Amino acid sequence: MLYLVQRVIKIKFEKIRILETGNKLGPWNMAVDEFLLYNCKEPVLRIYGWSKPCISIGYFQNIDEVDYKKCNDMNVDVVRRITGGGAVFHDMELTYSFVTKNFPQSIMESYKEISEVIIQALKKLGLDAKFSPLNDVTVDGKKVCGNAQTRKNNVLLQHGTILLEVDIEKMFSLLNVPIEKISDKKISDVKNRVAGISKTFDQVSDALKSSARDVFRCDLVPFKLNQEELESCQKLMDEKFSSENWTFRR
Amino acid sequence: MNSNQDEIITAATTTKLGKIIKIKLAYKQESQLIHSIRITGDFFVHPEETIEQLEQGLCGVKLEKEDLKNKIQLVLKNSEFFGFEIDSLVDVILGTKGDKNKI
Repeated sequence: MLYLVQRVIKIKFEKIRILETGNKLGPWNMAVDEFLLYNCKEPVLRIYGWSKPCISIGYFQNIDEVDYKKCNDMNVDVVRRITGGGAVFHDMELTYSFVTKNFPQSIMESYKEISEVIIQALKKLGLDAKFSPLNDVTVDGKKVCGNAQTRKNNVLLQHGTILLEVDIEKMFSLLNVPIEKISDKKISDVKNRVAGISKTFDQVSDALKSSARDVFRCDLVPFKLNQEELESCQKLMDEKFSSENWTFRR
Repeated sequence: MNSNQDEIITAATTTKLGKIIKIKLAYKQESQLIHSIRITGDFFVHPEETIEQLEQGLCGVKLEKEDLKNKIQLVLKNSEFFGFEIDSLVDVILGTKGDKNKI
């Protein structure tokens, strides 16, 4: 039996703006997240996907983590995030970002509070999800969601992926793991630790919105970026997230 | 060898602490002073820009445990980090010197 127990959430909102931006390219997706971070007036929950597979690497990672040539050959984008953490292969997943000025100062506490939206969404879908410190959500002991945060000018951005399906072999083939280390056992180990939730994008999207309303006891207000905002995102994409200066900076 | 001929040695190491830490280090062999250092990995530091300050701050620091620890503590004192401890980061930096994966 699945108990829909919710932990007590300290942060409260009157309303959250909902931004659904569809499937887009990696650099665009990262540009919109940064735009929202630096232009946050009210809390925003953004839900999005990827129009072609993309590997995002963490702010602190060396670009050598990724087999860049192979990514190019296989038509996989590579983009550097503004958040820390490891390389993520974005393919069959739902990605979200959440920006807010109202958040617990403790990084651990803020991960817990915001991740509660994910946990309750997965519970609505019949999955026994749990928070796994520092920044993961697991179902039956397997990671189904990874998250990362940054804070700028007293605004918090948390973004994360909810895996719908995973292709471990393809992911490994795009990372620069020495060939002798990509053993069957290693692939098998990762398969035992990471899983997709086998739900559709729309199912997860609906559950996430419903959960955000329940967890934060607030209204949801859909909105779209206006032309000027879209142009700012385009500029960020062109000048930062598509640039080699940014991607190869470490 | 005088200081003008203090040869710069480069080395790299990868260590799994809480998270993966990769160190690329160039240091002067005779004086044991760090010439340049790059710290990469899947860890978290808030604010993120602190890592560049740390890399710059470590240049010129001697590869001695206390010197490294004092500098790292000073630079990271107003930041939060996850995936490594200061003592273990010091050990990784020092361990780079003897690492087999010299570059």
